[in-house]
Amino acid sequence: MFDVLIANLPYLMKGALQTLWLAVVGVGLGTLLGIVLGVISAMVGGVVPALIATYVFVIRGIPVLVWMFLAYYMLPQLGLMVGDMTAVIGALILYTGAFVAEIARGAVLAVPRHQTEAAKALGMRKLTMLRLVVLPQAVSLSIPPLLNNSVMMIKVTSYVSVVGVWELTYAAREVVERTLAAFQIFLGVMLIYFLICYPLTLAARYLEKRYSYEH
Amino acid sequence: MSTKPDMPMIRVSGVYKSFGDLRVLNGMSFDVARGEVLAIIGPSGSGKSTMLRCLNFLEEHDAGEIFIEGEPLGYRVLDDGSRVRESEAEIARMRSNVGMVFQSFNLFPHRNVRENITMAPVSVKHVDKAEANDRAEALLEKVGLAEKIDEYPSRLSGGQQQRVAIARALAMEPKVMLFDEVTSALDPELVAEVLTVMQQLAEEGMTMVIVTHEMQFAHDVSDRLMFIDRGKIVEEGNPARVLSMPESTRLKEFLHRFSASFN
Repeated sequence: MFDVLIANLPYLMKGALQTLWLAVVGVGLGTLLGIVLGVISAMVGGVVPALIATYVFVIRGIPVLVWMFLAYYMLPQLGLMVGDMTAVIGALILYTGAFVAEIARGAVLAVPRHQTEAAKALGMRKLTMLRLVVLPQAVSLSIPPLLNNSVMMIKVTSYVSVVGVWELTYAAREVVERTLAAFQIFLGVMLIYFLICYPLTLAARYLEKRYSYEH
Repeated sequence: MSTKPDMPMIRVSGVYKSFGDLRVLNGMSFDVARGEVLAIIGPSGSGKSTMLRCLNFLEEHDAGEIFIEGEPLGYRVLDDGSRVRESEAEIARMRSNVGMVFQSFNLFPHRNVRENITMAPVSVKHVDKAEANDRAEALLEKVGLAEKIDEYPSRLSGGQQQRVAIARALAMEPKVMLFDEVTSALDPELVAEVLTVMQQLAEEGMTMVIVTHEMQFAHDVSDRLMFIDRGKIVEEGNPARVLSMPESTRLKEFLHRFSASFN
């Protein structure tokens, strides 16, 4: 009874690969960007934290769909001839980065002050303290919210089809238009998204265990 | 600036410190000689912990100067009276000469005892790993915890954690050790094991500044006792004399709350 799904599975899998690529590049680089921004904003003084906060508020306050349209239509008008793929990946990176920056900042600030005082009293400079004392403790605090965010952003990659970037959801719509077997196809799509997200959950669980310690 | 052997180990000169409108240190001046053990007592809120924390720049004094072996700590006062903050590297270097033990131990929970002790010598003073490890073993032996070297801090009792914290500070081979109410968070039966280690350090000639509520210990171990209140030194001198023949009303009232006699 799943003959249509089975017949179109190779095509859907090609779409899934594209989704994976968007997730790895867009969400992966966005997470890296967010971690760097979040840690900087928690560790330095001056205007830099305010600049990062502004970035977070602006990006976070506008739907990702609107950012994708903006990137797709506005960048070429500003003279930046970027492809549609580059535009949506840029939007994904910036959007992921904004949320992760807040997660990372929160995790660094959640490391108790007496820990940094002990490090300072031992003569550690900021970067040493960050590397040996603050980040290892912040990592275990930030794994659950980071995973949450990554899974959410992987699903957000399905929005890129609105500006015509081809991936799993786009491919599914094409197949449904051709075959009218919406139930079968979207059931398959559902499973594929789950199979992409589930290993992340497992990885996070492993990392959480690895970086956990008793207080 | 080179260290001057004729300078006192610590010199505090006219130090003021406020938190907002609250003046916590109100013109503190004193010296601590090399090898001297100074105990600071006083009611809560008197500024004793703040004074101690100023001695390794965890609190930054608003005015006045602090010298460790003649080197200015945190700020350099220029000829025209203006203050220049020292670089982060310089402050860190000064701090590495001043060991500190905290009331709440503050061991690193994600590292075991060995790593807690070797972390700073290796990363700050670039001591060879094997050498740092040997030193950690020797220090743990000294504080009576050799068998706990591979444990994590959460598996140790408060008294054991505090002794590891002392070993961790000593691993940096500091010139001065600061103790900030180090037995206040301990169960009564665990206090003695920490005080014994501190007494041993004092006997070895370590320069120590101890903020404490343990009057008997202050009496027994310190060379000089200082009573401070409202950010000022009220009385100081020989501990037996200060405790048995207090001159000021405030010290008399303060000591009245401790039942032990000091003769």
